[in-house]
Amino acid sequence: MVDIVGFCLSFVSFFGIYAILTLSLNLEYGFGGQPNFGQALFYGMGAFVTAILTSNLLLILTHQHLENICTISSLVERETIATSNPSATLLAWAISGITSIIVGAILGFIASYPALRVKEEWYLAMVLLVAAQIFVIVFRYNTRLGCGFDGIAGISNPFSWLVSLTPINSPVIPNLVYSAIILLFTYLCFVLTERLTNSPFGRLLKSVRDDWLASSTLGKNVNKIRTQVMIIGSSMASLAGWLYVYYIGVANTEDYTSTFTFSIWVMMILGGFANNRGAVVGAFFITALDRFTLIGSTLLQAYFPGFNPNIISYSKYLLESLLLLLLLVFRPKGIMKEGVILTPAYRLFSLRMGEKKNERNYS
Amino acid sequence: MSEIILETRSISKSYGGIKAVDDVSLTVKRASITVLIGPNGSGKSTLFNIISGVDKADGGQVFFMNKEITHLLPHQLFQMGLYRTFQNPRLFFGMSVLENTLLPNNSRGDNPLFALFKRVWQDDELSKAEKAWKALGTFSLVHLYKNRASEISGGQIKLLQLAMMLMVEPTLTLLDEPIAGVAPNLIPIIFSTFQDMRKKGKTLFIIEHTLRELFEIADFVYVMGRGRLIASGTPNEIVKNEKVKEEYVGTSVA
Amino acid sequence: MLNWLLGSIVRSIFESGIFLMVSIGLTLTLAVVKLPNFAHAEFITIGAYTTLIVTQFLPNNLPFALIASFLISGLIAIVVHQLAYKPLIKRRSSLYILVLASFAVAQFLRYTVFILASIGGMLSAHPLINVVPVLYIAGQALTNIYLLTLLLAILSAVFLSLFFKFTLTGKSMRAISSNQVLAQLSGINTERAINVMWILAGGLAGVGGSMLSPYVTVTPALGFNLLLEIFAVVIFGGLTSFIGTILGSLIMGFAENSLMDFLNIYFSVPYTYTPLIPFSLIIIVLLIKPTGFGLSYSVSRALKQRLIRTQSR
Repeated sequence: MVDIVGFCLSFVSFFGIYAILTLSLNLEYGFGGQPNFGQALFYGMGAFVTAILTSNLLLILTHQHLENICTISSLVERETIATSNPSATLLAWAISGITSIIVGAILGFIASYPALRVKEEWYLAMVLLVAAQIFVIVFRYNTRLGCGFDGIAGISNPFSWLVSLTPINSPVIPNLVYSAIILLFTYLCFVLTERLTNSPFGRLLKSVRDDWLASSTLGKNVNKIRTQVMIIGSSMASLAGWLYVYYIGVANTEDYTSTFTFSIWVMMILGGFANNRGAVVGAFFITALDRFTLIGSTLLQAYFPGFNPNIISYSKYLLESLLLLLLLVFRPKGIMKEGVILTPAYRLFSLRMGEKKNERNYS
Repeated sequence: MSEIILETRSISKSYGGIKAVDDVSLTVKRASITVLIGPNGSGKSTLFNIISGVDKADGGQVFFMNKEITHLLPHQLFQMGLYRTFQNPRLFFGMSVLENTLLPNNSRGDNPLFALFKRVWQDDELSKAEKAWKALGTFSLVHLYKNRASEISGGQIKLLQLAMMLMVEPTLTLLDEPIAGVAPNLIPIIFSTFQDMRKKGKTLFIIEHTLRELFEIADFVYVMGRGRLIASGTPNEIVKNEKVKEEYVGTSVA
Repeated sequence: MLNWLLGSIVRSIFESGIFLMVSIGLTLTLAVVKLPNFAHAEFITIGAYTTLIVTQFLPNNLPFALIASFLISGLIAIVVHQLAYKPLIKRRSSLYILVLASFAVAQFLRYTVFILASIGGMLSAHPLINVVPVLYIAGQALTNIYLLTLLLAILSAVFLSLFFKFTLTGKSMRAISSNQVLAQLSGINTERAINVMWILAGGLAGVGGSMLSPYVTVTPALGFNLLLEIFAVVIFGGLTSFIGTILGSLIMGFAENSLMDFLNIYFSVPYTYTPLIPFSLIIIVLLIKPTGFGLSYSVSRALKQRLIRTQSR
């Protein structure tokens, strides 16, 4: 009844993507003190840039005429190319990936624009929140940009062509390969954030977070540091958008709403403030909530045909918000505590003080 | 090299009709320990705020190493070699003692791109670690290296500020009540640190409440009362000064 | 040629009235407890649904529906404050944590309504209220609901200004908004004043939702869809100014109706671009006059205090 392999793959894939998003938000807020209430904007931009670019690139690379990407015929054409033409598909995948990251970086730079910060701290938060809403509205209603309510479809797994090549001829193969690739990127992002935060740059971030005025008094360029962290965080979020669109096959504004931004915040706060491992753990639990409610609703629908499946997804959002409120009131620091900045300096002190090898929490 | 490292000319500052600082002109000699004393509310901290760029004067000018710094901001002054500690310390309370200590100096790892590759900043980091080991050791803070700054005592926080000062070795340090709240057995080590810095040619300009503690090591003393400079001279002269005694009615100076 | 204008103005005035009712509560919340309450929109939804349910049993009974909406929304507002916001404010949480908490409360309320409405089959419904034209002005029909809305909006504005000026609780609220600690030390019962504030904030929003319900399809996302506009109104008004919110409501009402009608008829701008109006208004205000176009600046400063607490220790 329930496709176990499919469920595992979808769990792993969603987990990987959510983990990347949580790591990026944690970098911006947990370490850098920048509250990004519009993370879905960068995530969604990465997704739509990917979708639009891919749709056009697939046609260009196979020497065909460009046409309106929203039509059924162009959708069918995209899927055909994906299953038959490895080089065009992979090239389009790579190019759209690089472009997404660049677009994310540019957006991050704009979002941290100093002028916005000179007046009031909360402007940034408010503008990001509003911009994310507008992004959804614009891409949902403007058919030239986003193909309307249904979004841009036909972004197939970049390894779909593997199906005809393998003797098994099973559609599971491309899914397996792509899920593995998602995890690879998740691992890369984890390593990246760990290195960034366990370095002098990590110290700068925390100092700006804790007291930007004092940091500035010590000669640190607070604006530059903020811009840097926003650029990195936004690029990562856009990367996640690129990975996600190729996984799910369609770029639909429903996936990039403020409700989803809220979910990322829940993941971060649940897992642990300023702790990269915590971010991954938080993403894991919320992915579990997400995926199991989906299964639950499928099962319930099978056994109770009259049952409204939406109630399960409503319950999921209800649980998430309740979870966050309980966390905020009773355990705001999350599951895993903030760790020290592990640099050679720390290890030097640790050795000389005769500490146990894996002590890495603040006393 | 000029003898005078810091000079204020006719600094004035009012807060809503009350003159916090009233026409204060003073000079601080290079490689000296100069002390500024006065009762509460005499305007000492306000004067420091103005010198260190945290506050704006209503009138007057400030010169540091013969350059006018009246309108410069704190981070600019830091880069010129002027460091200031606060009476209510401004540290990074989410970070550990060690992290706070390592923060002030620059590093190649400050750039996020280089931060990714440890090899680029590793050696730099280790030499800073040695320096931090000595600085924290001077003030008996080493065992607290991984404690969060929010969890150590008030006196230890003051000492941490001094350790950070040692890491930076500023040309001129403005210290606002550096020994208030510090355990008495640690005061001698603080004083010997001050004397070491003076020997290295660094200047210290210190606010304290009374002269008694710093009497032995101070080179020159300024006394403020109700916003004005009411006396100046060597510690010996100040102790015998009648006007000063009047200002401190009820408090002993010597 | 200009026959669209009168209808447009009529609609603009109505929406201004609605915006006033639903936004004034947020202004109150920002002024008194310095909390940008994103859950405010849900009070509107709750008010609309209360009216829906009441009119199922008592069709056309407007007074009962209004009172019920006011009370239920107000009650939920107080409960939310006591359970979620008070503990966080007590431990001096940063502004961003409070905002996050208000998102969480909003989502919690919204999806509770989703679930209940889903079970009750009211995911998109209309209250049983007869909307009857009462007056005719130059061919434009003014209905009973329309006139009632205007009346309530004006009454609310008048009531609130009298309330703040002459009643003890109202004056207490002004004191709290200016300096809460000082107010407490002066012997003012801040606890009670704050509770009253929440009843008013939630209640007025609920009444606004109630007045809106005969004209729109009531869904659980009713309030949520208005969030952007409400914040635009309040930001325009400088966050804490009463007069500013009135001005903002007028501007929003007219911009979304008359301005859009104008742009649509003469420049063929599709109505789907209407959401860009609150967005543009927010950006314009933040760029030109971030303190807004209202009056009480000293109170905005108090809001900044919470932010400053966020930065330093």
